[in-house]
Amino acid sequence: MSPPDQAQWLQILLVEDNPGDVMLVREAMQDNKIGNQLHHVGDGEAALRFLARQAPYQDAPRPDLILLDLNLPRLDGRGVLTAVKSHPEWSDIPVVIMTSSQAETDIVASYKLRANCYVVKPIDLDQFMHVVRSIENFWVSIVRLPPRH
Amino acid sequence: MNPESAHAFPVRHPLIAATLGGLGLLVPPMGLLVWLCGIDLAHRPLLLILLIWLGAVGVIVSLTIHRLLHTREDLRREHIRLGQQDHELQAAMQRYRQTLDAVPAGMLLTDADGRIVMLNTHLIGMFGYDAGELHGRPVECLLPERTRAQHPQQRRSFMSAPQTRMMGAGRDLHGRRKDGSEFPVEVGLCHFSSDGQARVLATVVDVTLRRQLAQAEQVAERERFIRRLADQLPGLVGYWDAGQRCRFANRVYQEWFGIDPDTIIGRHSREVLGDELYQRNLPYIQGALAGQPQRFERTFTTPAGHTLHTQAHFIPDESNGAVCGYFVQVTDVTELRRREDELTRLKADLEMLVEQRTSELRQRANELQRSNTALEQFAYAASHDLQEPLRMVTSYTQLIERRYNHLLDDSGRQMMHYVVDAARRMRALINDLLTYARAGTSPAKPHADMAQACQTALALLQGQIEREQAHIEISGALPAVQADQAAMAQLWQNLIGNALRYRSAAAPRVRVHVRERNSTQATFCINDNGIGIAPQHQARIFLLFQRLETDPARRHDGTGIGLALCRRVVETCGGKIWVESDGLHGSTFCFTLPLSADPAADSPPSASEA
Repeated sequence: MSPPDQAQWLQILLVEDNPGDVMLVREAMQDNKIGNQLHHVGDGEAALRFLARQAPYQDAPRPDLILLDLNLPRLDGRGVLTAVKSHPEWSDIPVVIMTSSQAETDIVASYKLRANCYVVKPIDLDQFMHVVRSIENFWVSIVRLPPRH
Repeated sequence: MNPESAHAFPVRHPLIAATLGGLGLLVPPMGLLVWLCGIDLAHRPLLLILLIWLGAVGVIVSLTIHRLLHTREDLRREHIRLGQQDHELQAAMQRYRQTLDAVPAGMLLTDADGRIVMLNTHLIGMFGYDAGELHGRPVECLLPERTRAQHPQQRRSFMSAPQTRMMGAGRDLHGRRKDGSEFPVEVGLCHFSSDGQARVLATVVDVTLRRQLAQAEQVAERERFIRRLADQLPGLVGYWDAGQRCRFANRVYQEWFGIDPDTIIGRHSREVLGDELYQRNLPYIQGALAGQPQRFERTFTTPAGHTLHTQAHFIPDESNGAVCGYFVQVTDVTELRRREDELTRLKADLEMLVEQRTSELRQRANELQRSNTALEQFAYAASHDLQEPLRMVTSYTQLIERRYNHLLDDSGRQMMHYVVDAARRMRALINDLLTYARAGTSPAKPHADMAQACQTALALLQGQIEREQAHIEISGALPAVQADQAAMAQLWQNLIGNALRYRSAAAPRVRVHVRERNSTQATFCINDNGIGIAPQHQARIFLLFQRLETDPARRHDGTGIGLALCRRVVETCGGKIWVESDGLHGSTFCFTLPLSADPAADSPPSASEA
């Protein structure tokens, strides 16, 4: 299976403040050989600027999938989720919450804010890799996403 | 004695006797004359006979006269004696009458038929009759009409068995005066015979005065009693008439107003109370005299300088619709008032204290709330912030191990293993601590299905059960309890997990059962055939971070939180937990929990084996 045309690549926005996790996600995705482009921002405000194509993200693509951590500097994951899901143009972008919090309150609150799914970051390296790849596979190969505007 | 009976002699007149005596005295001179005249008497027999006859007559007459004179003297003497006797008799009669009249009681004598034969003036006066009016009348006329009818019968019964009756022998008798009025009497009776006639002597005393005196004494005694009573009462007691003058006052008036109770009678309110107090009391006095009971409080100062708080009652004394005065009763409530004030003060103090305590408690509650929030924040931070770097450590050591393993020697690999292992243990520790912290914060729920909780625990332990080739038996039903379902699953998991972990050489055999059950709680037991716990350690194992095992292989398994968590879960629900073991032949962990109020909650017996 050859990688698809770069224009068809899945645009993934990773909102994550922990560079360690960013590296792990990149590692996992690199190995997966699925055509995608991973964009990374380190806080909630940057995520919203990215979506709004504000500086320094004037040329940013519209993401097909957002991987969102909950605990973020400036604007946290809940704030980002609220903004995305209440925005007329962004509300159809699937948001996967990827966090280390197992707290029930976080899970419930996230789904109430219309998160598409909630994933707890596994401790174990292999499991972590497996989860990231699964997410990628699921959203790239299995799910039919809304057409790009 | 009749004086006429003394004239037994035939000479009816002294003149005749004297004549006859004189003729007798003529005989001797005539004899002499005859002799002198020389008359031979022997020849003159008739003369002789005449002379002898005359002489004899003279002798007889003289003797008779002599006798007569004697008799006359006797008669005179007798007459004098009789006169004396009569006088004495009269005097005796007089004395007798005087005596009778002098007796300070009425006396009357009746015959057998109850007719009055004799009576003294006292009695006549007592009954208001005139002298002589009662003579011969039946004694019943002296009785009231209501007792008159039965009296003849009583009289006859007395006469049939006469007995002297003393005065005042318990009878309530009355006499009736001529004018019809009655009066109380006492009557004494005695019976005797006089000249063969039965007589009854009655002594009658008018006891009106005595009765009156007794009544007066009774009244006086009553009044003394009332006074004593009133004086003993711990307050003012008095009576004031319509003219506001005192008619009665007890001793307290002296204490409170300085007026002798003996001199207070007849004095006016104003005089006793003083102008100022009188003016203050006047509306109440007028109210009472208008027939309205008055009740009010009054503070005033006694002559001794004591300030009294009093409570006064003025009670109108009404008779026939008119108020003739009012009763006064005043109680000293100074002490009561003082206590009331003290009570009010204490109440205020108490309220302040309660408020203070409440505010303290509120503050404490707020502090607790804050600390609870802090704890929750800590839990969250621990779950995220502590695990986050831990995950990094774990992940990257694994990544290094994987990617750069060929660059490490054995010692390096060993070091890497230690890092990985330490991170894993740290994570377990954090998770257990979090669970422990949360266990005490969630309130006990009304219902937890113990059988289901136990099955949940067994499912979670399935891998371990299989590894250890353990035999788990749940014997009998496990009743539902008042607890949180998840906490119960955790409890079973920890206890059964311990039984598997601290196994002996033999294959673990674990038996779960309910040892005891009453209407409110049940005792659950988990019995194993493990290594047991020595009695000296049994209290310690339920404390946080207390571990007994020295075997390094086992040390790595536990965090020292499991049993502390069990204890916290059980005690939060109001139960107790303990262990029974001789330190050689396994252990039995027991815990009590309150039963669920829902009776249909008991699960059927089930068994799980592995």
